[in-house]
Amino acid sequence: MKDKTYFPLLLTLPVVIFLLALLIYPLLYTFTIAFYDETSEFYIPFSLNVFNSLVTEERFLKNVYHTIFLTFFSTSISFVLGIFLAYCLDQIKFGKSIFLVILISPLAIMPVVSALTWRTMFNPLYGILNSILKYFGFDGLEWVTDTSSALTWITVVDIWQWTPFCLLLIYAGLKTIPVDIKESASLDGINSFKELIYISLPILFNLLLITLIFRFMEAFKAFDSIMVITQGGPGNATETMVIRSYYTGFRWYKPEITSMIGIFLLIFTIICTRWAGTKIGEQEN
Amino acid sequence: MFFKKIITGFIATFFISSAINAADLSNYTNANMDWKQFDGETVTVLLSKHPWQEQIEPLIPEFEELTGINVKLKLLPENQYLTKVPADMEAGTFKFDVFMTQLYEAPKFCAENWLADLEPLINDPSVTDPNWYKYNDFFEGARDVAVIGNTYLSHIAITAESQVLVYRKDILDELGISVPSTMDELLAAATKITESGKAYGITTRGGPAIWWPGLGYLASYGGEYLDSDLNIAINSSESIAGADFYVKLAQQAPPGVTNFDWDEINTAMLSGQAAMFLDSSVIYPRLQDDSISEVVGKVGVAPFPTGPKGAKPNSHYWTVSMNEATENKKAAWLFLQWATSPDMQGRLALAGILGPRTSSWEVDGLSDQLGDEFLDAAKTSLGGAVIPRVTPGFFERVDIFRAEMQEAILGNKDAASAMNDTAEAWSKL
Repeated sequence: MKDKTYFPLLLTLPVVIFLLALLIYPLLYTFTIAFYDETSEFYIPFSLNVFNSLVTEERFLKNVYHTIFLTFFSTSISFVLGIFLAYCLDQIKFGKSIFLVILISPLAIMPVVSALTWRTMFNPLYGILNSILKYFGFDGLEWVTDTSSALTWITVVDIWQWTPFCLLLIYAGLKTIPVDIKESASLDGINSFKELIYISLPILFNLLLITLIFRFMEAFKAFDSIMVITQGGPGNATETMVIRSYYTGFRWYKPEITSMIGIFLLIFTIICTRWAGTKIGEQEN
Repeated sequence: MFFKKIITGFIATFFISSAINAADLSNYTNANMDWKQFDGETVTVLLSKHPWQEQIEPLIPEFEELTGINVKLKLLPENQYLTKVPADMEAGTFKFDVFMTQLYEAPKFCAENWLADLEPLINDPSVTDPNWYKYNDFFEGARDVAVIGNTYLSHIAITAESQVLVYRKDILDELGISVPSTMDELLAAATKITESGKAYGITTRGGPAIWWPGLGYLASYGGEYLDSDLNIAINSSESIAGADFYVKLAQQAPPGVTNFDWDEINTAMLSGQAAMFLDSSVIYPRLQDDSISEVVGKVGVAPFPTGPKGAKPNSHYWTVSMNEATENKKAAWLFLQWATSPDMQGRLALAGILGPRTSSWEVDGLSDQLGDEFLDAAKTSLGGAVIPRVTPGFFERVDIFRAEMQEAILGNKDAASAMNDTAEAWSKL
C-alpha cells in the first residue's frame, strides 16, 4: 500500500526539481545578494545597508513614483477603454471582424518596432505629430524630450499598445453570455448600457479581474517602449523601477541594487495579486 | 549604374591594394635591430572585424617575410569580440598574444593584470629602434590612452578620431558670420543662425553619450571629470563654466536635443536642418556622399574652437595590446611594433584608416584624397585632444552626468547646481 502513496509524489518530482532550480534557488540567491554583508556586526553576514541607501535615495523614490504613475494610469485607462470598445464591438451590426482586426493590430506589432515608430512620430523636428499640429496652426510640442511631459506620453504609448489586450479578453467574455439573458433584459425594457453595467459585467467579474491582473502586471514591468523611446530620460523623468534595475544590473554591474529592486517588485506584485486571488476565491464560494 | 559602381569599386580596390603591395621591406629593414631573431616562432593574433583589420590583414605576409615569424590570425565580429575577450580572460582560457582593445576596458584589464607592460619592450634596444619606431610621434591623446586610468603602458593606438567643427559655408556666408575660432564666437554664431530661422545653429549630442563631446567643452574651459588623482573635479568652477557653455550651446540645437545621439546629430547635419556640428571627424566623408547627404559641397571644416584654456577636443582611439600570459613577449612585440610603426600607419592612412601618429597625417597623397582643409582641421584638433580618465564604473558616472545635463538643457536647473548634484551622486558610488 505504501508504494501507492509515494508514487504520485514521485511523479511530481520533475516539476519540483524544476521549480527548485529555476524559481526557488534564484529567489533565495537574490535575497542573498541583496542582504549579504561580510563586514556585518551580526553573527550572520547580514545587513540592511543596500535597503537603507535605496529607500532614502531621492532618485529611487522618483523611480517608485514613476512606476506607480505609469502602472495606475495605464492599467485603469486601458481597462475602461477596453470595456468600452468591447461593448461597442458587441453592439455594432456589421464589419465586426474588420474593426476587430484594426483594433487588435497594436498587439500584433513587435513592441520594439512600434516603440521605434512612436519615437519617430514623437520627434519634435521631423515627427508626424508636430507636423499635424503645425498644419493646424499650433506650436509643436516637445513630447518625450521634455521632463514634464515625457512620462505622460510613455503612458499613452503603453495604453495604445495594451488596450487591445483588454478589448480581446472582454470581447470574448461578452460573447459567452447567452443571448437569452440579453433578450429577456431587453424585453423587460432595460437599455443595453444598463444591461452591460448591471448584468453582463457582474457575470464576467472573474474574467475582468484576471484581465486587470494581467494588465497590471504588464504595465508594472513595462520595459521595451521606455527603453526604446527615452532610455529613462530626459533627466530621469521616465526611469521606472524596472529600467533602473536593468541599468544597475546589466550596465553598471551592481547586482545588489538590482536584487533589492527585484525584491521590492516581487513584494508589490504579491500584495496586489493576492488581493485579486482572494476575491476570485470568494466568488467561487 | 550598378555595373558602373562595381567596376569603379574594382578599380579602386585594385589601386589601393596595388599601392599597399608596392611598398618594399627596406622601410623596415633599415631599423637598427634584428628582425630575424625569432625566425620560426609563432605569434597568435585575435582581431575584431574592423576597417583597420581589413587593411592590415593582407599585409601580414610581409611581416612573416620580414621576420620569419608565423602569424596565426583569428577574426571575430565586433559584438562577439567585445564579449568573448573579457569572458575568456576571466575564465583564464584566453590564449592569444596580441589583440585589439578599447580604452573603456582598460581599468579592468589592467587591474586584473591581463595586459603586458610594453614599456620595457619599447626601451629594449635589442627589439626596438627608438629612432625608427618614434614613440613620441603619437599624438599626446594617443599616448595618454596607452597609460589610461593611471596604469602601465598597455594600449597602443591604431586609429584616431576627434571633435572637429563642421559648418555650412553657405549659411555662414549669407549671415556674414566668420568661421568661429573661439567658444564665444561659436555660441554667438549658433544663436544668430537659430534666430535667423535658416537652420538651427548647431547639432550636438544631448542623449546617452553626451559625455563624449561634453569632455571637450569642459577641458577647453580648464575643467575635467576626474583630476589626475582620480578625485571628482566635475564641480570645479572651470568644469561648471564648461558645462554652462555646453548647456547654452545645446539650447541652440533643434528641439528634442535631449534625445540626440550619434545618428540624430548626423541626420540633422546631413538633412540640412542644422548649420554647425562639433563632434567626431568621422562625419566629414559622409557629408560628401550624395546618396545620403543633401549638403554636398556646402560644408567646410575647421579645428575645434578655443576656450579660455585652449582648444581641447575629446578624442577616441582603438588600440592593440599584448596578453600578459604571452610566452615570447619579444616576438609578439615585433608584431605589435611592425603594425603600429610610422611607415605602416602612414600606408594605412592612405587606405582610409586615419592614424594616431602625426606622421600618418603627413604622408604623400593624403591631401589629394581628403583635402587639406579637412586634414589640417583634424590634425590640429587631434594634436590638442584629450581623453577621459576612465575608471571602473565610468559609464555609471557619465550616465548621472547625462541626466543632470539634460535637466540643465531643459532649463529645470542651472549648470552649477547640475554639476554639484552630479558630484554629490558620484561621491556616493
